[in-house]
Amino acid sequence: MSDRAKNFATVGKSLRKVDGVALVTGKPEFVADLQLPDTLIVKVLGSPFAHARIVSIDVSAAEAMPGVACVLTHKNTPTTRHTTAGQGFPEPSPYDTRMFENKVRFVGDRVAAVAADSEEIAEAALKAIRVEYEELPAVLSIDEARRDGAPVIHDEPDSTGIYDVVRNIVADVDIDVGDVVQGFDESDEIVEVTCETQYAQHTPIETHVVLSYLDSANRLVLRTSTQVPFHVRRIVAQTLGIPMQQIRVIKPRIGGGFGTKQEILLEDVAGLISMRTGRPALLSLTRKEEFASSRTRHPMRVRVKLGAMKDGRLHAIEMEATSNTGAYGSHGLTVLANTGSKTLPLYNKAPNAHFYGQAVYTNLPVGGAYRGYGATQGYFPLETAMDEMADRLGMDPIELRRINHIQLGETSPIFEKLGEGREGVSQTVKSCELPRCIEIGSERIGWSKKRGKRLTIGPWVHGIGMSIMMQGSGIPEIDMAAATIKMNEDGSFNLLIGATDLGTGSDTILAQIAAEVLGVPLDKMLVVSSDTDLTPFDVGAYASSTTYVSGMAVQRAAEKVRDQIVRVAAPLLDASADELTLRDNAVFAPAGTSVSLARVCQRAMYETDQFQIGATASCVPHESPAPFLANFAEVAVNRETGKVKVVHYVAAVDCGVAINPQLAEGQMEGAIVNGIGYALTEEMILSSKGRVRNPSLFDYKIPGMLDVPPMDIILVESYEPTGPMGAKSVGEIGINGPIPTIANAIYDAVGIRLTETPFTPERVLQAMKEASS
Amino acid sequence: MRIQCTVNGKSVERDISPDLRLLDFIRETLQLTGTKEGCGEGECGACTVLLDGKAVNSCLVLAMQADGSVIITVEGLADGQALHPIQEAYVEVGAVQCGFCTPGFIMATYALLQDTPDPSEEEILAGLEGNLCRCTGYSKILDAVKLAARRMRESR
Amino acid sequence: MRYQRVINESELLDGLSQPGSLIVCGGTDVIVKMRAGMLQPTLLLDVTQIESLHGIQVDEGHLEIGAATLESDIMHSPLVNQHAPLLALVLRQLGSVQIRNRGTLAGNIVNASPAADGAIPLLLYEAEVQVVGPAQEQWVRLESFFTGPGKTTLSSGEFVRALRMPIGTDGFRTFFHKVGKRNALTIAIASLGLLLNIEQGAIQEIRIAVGSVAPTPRRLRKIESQLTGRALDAALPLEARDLITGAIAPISDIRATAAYRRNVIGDLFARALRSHLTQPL
Repeated sequence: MSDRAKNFATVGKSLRKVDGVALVTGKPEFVADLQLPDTLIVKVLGSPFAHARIVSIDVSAAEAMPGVACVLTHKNTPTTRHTTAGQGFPEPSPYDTRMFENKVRFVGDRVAAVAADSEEIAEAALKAIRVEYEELPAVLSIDEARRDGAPVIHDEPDSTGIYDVVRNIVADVDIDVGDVVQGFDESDEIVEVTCETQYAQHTPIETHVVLSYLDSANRLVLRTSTQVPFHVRRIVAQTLGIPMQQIRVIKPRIGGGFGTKQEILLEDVAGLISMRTGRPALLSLTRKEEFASSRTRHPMRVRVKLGAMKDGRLHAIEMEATSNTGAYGSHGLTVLANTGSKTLPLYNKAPNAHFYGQAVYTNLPVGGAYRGYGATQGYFPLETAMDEMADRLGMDPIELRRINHIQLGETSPIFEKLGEGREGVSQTVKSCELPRCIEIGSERIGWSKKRGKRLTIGPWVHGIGMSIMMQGSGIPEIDMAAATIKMNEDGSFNLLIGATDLGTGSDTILAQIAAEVLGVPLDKMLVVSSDTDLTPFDVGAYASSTTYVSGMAVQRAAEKVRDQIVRVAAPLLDASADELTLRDNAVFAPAGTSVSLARVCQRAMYETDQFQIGATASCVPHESPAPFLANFAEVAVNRETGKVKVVHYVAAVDCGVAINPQLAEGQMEGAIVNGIGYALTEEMILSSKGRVRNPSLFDYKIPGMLDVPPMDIILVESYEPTGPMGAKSVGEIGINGPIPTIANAIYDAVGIRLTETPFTPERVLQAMKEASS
Repeated sequence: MRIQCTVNGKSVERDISPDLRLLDFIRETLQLTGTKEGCGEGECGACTVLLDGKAVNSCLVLAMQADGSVIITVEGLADGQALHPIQEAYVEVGAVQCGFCTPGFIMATYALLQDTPDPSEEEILAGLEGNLCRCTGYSKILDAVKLAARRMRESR
Repeated sequence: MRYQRVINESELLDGLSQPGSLIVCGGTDVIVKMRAGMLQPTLLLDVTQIESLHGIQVDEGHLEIGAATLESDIMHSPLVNQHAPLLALVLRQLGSVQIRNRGTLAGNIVNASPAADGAIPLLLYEAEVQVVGPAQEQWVRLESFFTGPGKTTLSSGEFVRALRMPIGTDGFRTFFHKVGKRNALTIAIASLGLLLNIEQGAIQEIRIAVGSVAPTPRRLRKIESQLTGRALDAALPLEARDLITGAIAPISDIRATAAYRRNVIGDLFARALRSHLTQPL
């Protein structure tokens, strides 16, 4: 633990989550747990075609059914183009979406919605809607998308922000450092790897769900499972064409997000139904609908070319990414840009670098934000290529990385050249314990005694592999978070934050930061989060921003409140304000005399120069300090079935000071297991017509308890001077690790390089057969 | 149709539709919303309750099939303000992230420890194989079950 | 839809005589299919309370299991573990605790999924299905009970009372392997089960059953007779591999290709013989 972190009273402790008791007792904390009288059930009709024009739609029979309150189609809804991506304004995603449209662009695209007294009636009414489609030729792969004469998916005139409409290109990125062509010429060794990643879904156990209703002032209230309540308010107002002040968004507890709830998918429909009918409306996706119509990780083809000198120094890196954004461009540009911006700075020693790529439309399920956000897709080929380069040079893969990775005090030109869909922000690394992460992790896995040994037990052959990576903490000069703290006369505080706890524990760690500054135990900090009427603005939970950005806003608000407290306390202690300290629910003078916080607030409220002790503060980060991670895995590969078992996984991570180590570990464990599923079993399988063929947890296999290997998560602490209490964020980075780490371990075991995910028994067996023939 | 059963120690009697699932009966008719639906086909275990002492997926049982039965849901475990040791352990070790799968896990744990008070790690994994969690990566859930088992044995 | 809890077999037969009637027991399959609109019964007959459909016993050289007996009860039954250990082992890998606490083996069989794991050990133990109709009742060999994916010889108006299998394989070696995507709640991509009696290095008796590689789970009797009496020498596994890959005709679907299924069954079979079934897989 760093010296500066040693003296913390609340920060750095694995305190219990502030919402824990409510969750284990089954309190009605989630969206659909609130049951309002007279609630309409909303069901959505999805397109059966990947690409079609709606020639006619007849809803008269549906509307005439008893119990049907409202039917929405493109004929009776607002036509404003918008993006469903819940990003800061102006969003870097194209405005290519309408609430409903006379054209559908993927199987499951929204055609109509019915609100009725019961689910049965709503479903019957959906069946009664008559739609005549004119089927259009569909684009079903990234290669078809840019072909001459390919069907144009967004041929409508009013969409904006699309890079090249005719060639179905949403976004294009191209940045250069030095001269890679010359760089490769000068290199002693060249390695080139192209990897493809699959359609995968977040699968939070709670699907997307919203409950809308009108309050006593006839304002629209959206109680919704979202990561971005303030963006929901803004985008719903824009979509429905109503004043933003008419909308209140409440985020209760939500059942997991992982990026898919950074998307405004349902709130406009439910909201409009409540406005039209005056009744509460519940719209909840079934698991099947979630698979077909929500969001996915952008499948990508990424090519990495590395040039290195004989001594292992990287001399040139090129990365080319082609991203499939599906039918709409949600997060198309930014996920693509992050594929380069979150990976290439890791190997900053190479003087020549080139990142370029495009995100293309297809008539397939829609990509969106997903934990890792492009970096996951980028690290697979990058870390595979590094492994291969080590092999070619006859170096230990650890050593190759050690001499090439970014270090404390260093920078990368990529930081400045490539940002979140635009130019980035230059920064130097102010905290980095990656060398220790590598050292500790390699010892824990038994690198030197196990690598290359190919331990064989029956049909199982063991191997070990590793990878390293970095991510970021928020989006510099774009993200904004604010926090308000007010004091109560019993010495407790209300902490009002727009930051969005999606299960991560951010309510808890933000309260720990405030409690630390104000010298109180955690239970004196009463958290209200994510209600657009009650809490100050925060962009929401994405881009690994909450701990670093929202945390800093909370720290600043707490410091302002502390300044007010000591000013009130000074006369009571007969001391000057600047020499007072706060701890143990009291203000202390250097002499040891003290006055309770309750007493201080009573004085401010009832006695002298009365005022409310309280403050709001904001944070816009000027840089995005990276957490660093070293991954190690031991796998066993079955030579007969091709099945891959992860036997042991070690992740040593530098996330600065862990505000709550238990919760930080939890972020890592969850992300790694999600990553193992992504590496081994999870895949949305599409038919030749673009339909998801396995839209259930029965055939889309996320890891269960029996699939999880023994894991060692090691928090290697550093102190990030720009972060709250020395912290960086840790929400995403873990998910990037399993694919390249497992791939490299499989190579160590059986000598095959897998370049297509997931590594199913069939793919592994096939690759082994090809290698042996 | 008329259904009579005992839920969390209380006798309840209601008129329901014969196609109502036990899950909907619990959540909507009885307004005990701690039990969750994550998939509706027995894959995720979020709807796990105890039916006559056995852990079942309430999405795969018709409410009428529970006529005359004894049901325990997550709301039935705490003793007033005092958490059940399993609930206590889940909070303490950080086995709860978003909490949506948690009631199902807690009920599956309850069933496991009722039949196997001192489970091996293998028995814990087998006992909870029918529950999915997307947040925690399961490590801390495993820790919670071990801790709860130990405390429940010690307090007997 | 009406729901009726039938309490004896004659009530059940009465109910089954009505059009649109359907038996529900555990409901693990029926309720999902009803929700998806794949089944639309007008009368649901809940058989869980019929006494005569419950129980596990050994009688006249047979292990007999009532159709409404829970999978979890079968799995834990000392009689089953003694006389049909492979059945208990396979059930442990079937579904989850919650599913086994509702599901029944007979339900698994009546569904007749090509991937029905429960069928593999039953086929190996030469199980028979007791089919009861209004006019007659008879024991039908499980092998002829399955007629295609989702199809059996069970006609409308009939129900299954019990499953039984002759005992007497106590000394046999057993083998079961399922290739799936995950370790729990996994539908098989391919599965192989064996019962094997080896004496003095030769195969006295071998029974082979496969799942997910044919329209129904099935025995491979021709190969069984080809291998009976053969010495278990070093050449046999490779020969056996060729025999089995030639004997099965799997299909490609979202879970795997035909080629993979054929290969993997071949490799598993070869390995099972090579290891004399002693090493864990």
